[in-house]
Amino acid sequence: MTDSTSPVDVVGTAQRLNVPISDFCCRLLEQNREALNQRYLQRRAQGAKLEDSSWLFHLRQRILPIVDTVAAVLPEGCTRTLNDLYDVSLDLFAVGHFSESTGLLPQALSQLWELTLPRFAKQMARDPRRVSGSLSNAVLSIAQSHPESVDRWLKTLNRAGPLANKVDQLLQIGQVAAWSAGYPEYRTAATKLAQSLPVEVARSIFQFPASLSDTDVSELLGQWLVDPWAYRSETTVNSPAVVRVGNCGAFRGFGGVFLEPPRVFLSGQQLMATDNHSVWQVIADSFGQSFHRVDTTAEVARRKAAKSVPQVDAHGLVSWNGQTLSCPDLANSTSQAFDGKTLAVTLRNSFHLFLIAAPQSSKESA
Amino acid sequence: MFQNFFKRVSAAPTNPTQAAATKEFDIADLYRGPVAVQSASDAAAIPLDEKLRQAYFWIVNHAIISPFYDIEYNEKPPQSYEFGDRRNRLILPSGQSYCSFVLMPLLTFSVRAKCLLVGGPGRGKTTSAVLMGILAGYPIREVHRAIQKGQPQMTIADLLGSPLPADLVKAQSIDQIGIAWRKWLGMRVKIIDEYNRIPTRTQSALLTLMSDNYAELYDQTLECPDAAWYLTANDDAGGGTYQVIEALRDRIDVVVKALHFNSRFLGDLLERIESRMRPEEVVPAEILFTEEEGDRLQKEIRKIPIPKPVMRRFEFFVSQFEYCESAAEQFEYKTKDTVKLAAIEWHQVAANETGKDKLKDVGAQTKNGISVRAVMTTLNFVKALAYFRGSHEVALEDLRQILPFVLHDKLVADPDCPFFESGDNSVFRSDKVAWIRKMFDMSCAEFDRLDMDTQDQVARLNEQFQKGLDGVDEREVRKRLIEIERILKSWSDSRKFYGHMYDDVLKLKYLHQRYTNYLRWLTWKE
Repeated sequence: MTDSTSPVDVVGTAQRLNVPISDFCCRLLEQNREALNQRYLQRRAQGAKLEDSSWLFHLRQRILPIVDTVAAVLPEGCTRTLNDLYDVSLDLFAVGHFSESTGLLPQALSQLWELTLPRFAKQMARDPRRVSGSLSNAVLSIAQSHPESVDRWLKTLNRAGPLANKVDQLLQIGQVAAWSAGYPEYRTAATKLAQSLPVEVARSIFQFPASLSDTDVSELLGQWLVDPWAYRSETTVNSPAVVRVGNCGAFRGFGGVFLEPPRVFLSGQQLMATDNHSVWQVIADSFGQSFHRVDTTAEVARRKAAKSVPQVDAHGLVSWNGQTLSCPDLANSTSQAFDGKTLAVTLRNSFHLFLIAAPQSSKESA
Repeated sequence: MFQNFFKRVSAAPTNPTQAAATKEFDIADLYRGPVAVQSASDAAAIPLDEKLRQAYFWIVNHAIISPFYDIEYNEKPPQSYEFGDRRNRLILPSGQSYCSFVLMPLLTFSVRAKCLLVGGPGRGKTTSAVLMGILAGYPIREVHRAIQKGQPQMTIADLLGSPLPADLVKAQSIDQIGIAWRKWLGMRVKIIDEYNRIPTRTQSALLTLMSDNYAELYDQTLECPDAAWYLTANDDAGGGTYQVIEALRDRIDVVVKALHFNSRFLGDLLERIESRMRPEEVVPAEILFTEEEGDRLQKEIRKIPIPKPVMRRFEFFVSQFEYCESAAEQFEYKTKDTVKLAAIEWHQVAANETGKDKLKDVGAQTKNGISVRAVMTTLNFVKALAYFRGSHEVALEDLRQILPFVLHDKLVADPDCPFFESGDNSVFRSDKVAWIRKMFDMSCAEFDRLDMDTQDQVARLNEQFQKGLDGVDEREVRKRLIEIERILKSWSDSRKFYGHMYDDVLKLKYLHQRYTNYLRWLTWKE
C-alpha cells in the first residue's frame, strides 16, 4: 500500500500478508479483486481518509472472519456479504470511524465487528448491509449519547441476538436491548416491540428469573407500557411500598448536565429540571435516566406547579395513600415534582435528582 | 452548464426553524447514522413540507422571473424606507418572505384547490400552471395537451368528450352510448387557459365539473379525481369575450395577480433565449410529487392545528360583514344577503345605515358578507401556508397573509363608503390585496380594543354550553338564562351596534332558546 497516486491493490496485499485467511475467502477476494480495489480507490478519490494499514487490518481481522461464518451457513451468500461488509466499512472509514483518534468509538465498533457480528451468520447471510450497517449505526449512536451503556447493549445483543430467526427480529432485539441498556426514552416503543417478540427472546433480553412464568413475563411487558418502574427486581414486582429508585444528574464538571443545584417542575405531564441556565426533560425508568435539553422559554411558559401527592415533608417523610417512607436526607427539599409515576426531589446542596416510585397498586389512581 | 443551473435545488432546510419544545423520541433513530441502510429512495426521502419549499425556491430562483416578496414575514421589526411625495413605504422583511404569484399556485397544488391567475399577457400565468402539472409528475407534453384553451367556439364536447359514433347508431337506449371522455378529466392538475373566453353554456358544464367533480354527458357520468385547478384570465374584472357566470367565479378559491416584469432581470431572459432552455423542460426529479405524496401532503396539512386565539380573531373578522341594519324587520334577516336577493340598489340601503362610525366599521366597506365556502377555503389555505413554512400551528400572520387572496373576488367593495374618501384610503379602491389586509388589521385592532381575548362573554357562555346539559339542574339553567338576558340588556343600552355584535346576539338567542327548551323539559320531567 502506497500513497494515493500509485496503483493500489488492497486485496492482493491482504492476501500476501502473513495472516491466516481461509482458502474460501482467498478465492472470493480473487474473484472480486478488481471491483473491490476500484471501490476503495473511488472512495479515496472522493476525499475519504482511508489509511491503507488500518483498512487491511480491518479487512482481514473483521470482514473476512464474518464472511467465513456466513460461508458455513449459506456459501452462496458470501459474495454479497463480502461486498456489503466492504461497502459498509468504507462508509465507516470515510467518516473517520475505526480510526485510532476517536477515543471510545473504535473500541465499541471493533467489539461489534469482531465479537458480535460473527454470531449472526444466519441473519447476516440474508441482509448483510442492513445488519452490519444498522448495528454499526446503533453502536455509534449509543457510544455518543450513552457511552456507559455500550457494553450492556452489546452483551444483551450477544445473548439474545442469535435467537432471532429474521433480520427484522434481530434489529428489534437491538432496539429493545437499547432501552434496557439505559434509554428510558424508548420505553413505550421498545415495550411494544418486546411484546411482539417470542417470550424466550424477551426472557433472554431482560434476564428474567426462571421463577417468572411466561404469563408473568407477558403481563410485566404490558405493565411496562404504563409504568416505568413495573419491574425493579424479582422481589419488587407489584411492590405496594413507596420506594426510592435512584438518583440522577450531576455537576457538569463531573460529567453531569447541571451548573447549579437543579430544581424540578412539571410541564404538561413531563418531569423537567432546570439549573437556572437551561431546562431538561427528565426521563427515568427501571433501566436508567436521561436528560434532554429543551427550548427554555417554551418550557418555562408551560411550567405547572407540582402535583400535591405524594410529597416529601420538611422532615423527609414521604406519604402516599397511607404508605410512608422515611428519607431524612430529603428533608427541606428545594423542589418536588410528581408526574404520576415518579416523584423527583431536589436539595439545596446537591446536583442530584432523587427519584421515588409510587406504590404500584396505587399508580393508576395517580 | 445552464442545464445544471436549472437542476439545482435549494439545500434543505430551506426555512430553518427552532425545534419543538420537547423532543419526540423515535426508536428508529437508533439505526440512523453514517451507514446508509435504507433503500436509496428512503434515504433521499425528505419531509414533504421541505420538498414543497424546495419546489417553491426552484420555481422562484430558476423558472419564473418574479422577484417580488409581497407576502412579508417579520421576525423582528423590519427596516422601511419612504419614497416620493406620497411617502410610499418599502419594507425590508426580517423573516423569510414569499412571492404570492408562485406561492399561491403551489399552496393550491398542495391542497388541491382552485386558483385563478390574472394579469396581462406574457406574465407567466400559463407557465406557472404548467409547472404545477409537472410537479404532479405529468410529462410536459401531457400537461400541454391537457390545457383547455378557452375560445368562443368551445363546446361541451370539446371540454368533456363525445359519444362514440358507432354507439350512436347501434344504441337502443341512451345509456348504451359509450363516451370518449377527454383525458384531462382524469388528471390531478387541471388547467383552463383564458377561462373568460369560454361560452356561457360551456361554462355551465365546467361549473359542474369544478363544483361536483364529475362530468355528465348523454346520461353518463365520469367521476374525476381530486385535482388542483388553475384558471387563467387576462382581465382581472373577469371580462373577456363572455361574462363569467357568478357561480363559476365563486368556485375559485384564490385569486393571484401576475406582477409586471422587472426590467433589471432582462439578462435572465437573454440567457434563456441563448440557451434555448425552457424551465418547465428541466424540472429536477427531486421536487416532483407522486400521487401518494400528494395525498399525504393533504393529510399532513389538515393536521396543522389553528390555535383558539387565532381562530377567534378570524371569527371576529368574518362576523363584521354580513350585518345590514336596514335590510329587514326581523333580526335574523338583517343581512346584506337579504338586500341582494331583493335586488335593491345598494346605495339606497347604505344611505339608511346610520349610527355607526363608517370610517371604523369594516362592515360598511363591503356590499356583501363572507360565504361559508370562503371561510372553509381560508382555513384550508392558512393550514397549508403554516405547513409550507414548517410551522407546527397556524399563526395570526399566516391568516393575515392568506385572506386577501381568498377574499379577492369574494368581497365586493362599496366604493362610495366614506372610508375610501378618507386620507390616503382611495388607493384601496384599486389595491384589493392591501384593502383586505387593512380591514383585517382594523378588525384585529378593534378586537384588542374590546379586549376580546379575555372579555369574551359569548365565548364563555358557549364553552359552558358545549360541556353539555347532562346533570344541569333547573336552578343553574335559570341562572344561565338570566345571564344571557343581562348581557343582551347591557348591549341594548348602548346605541352603537356593529356586525360582530350581530352574530353574538344571534348566538345568545340560540343559547337562550336551547336553555328554554331544556328548562321546559326539566319542568315536565319533574
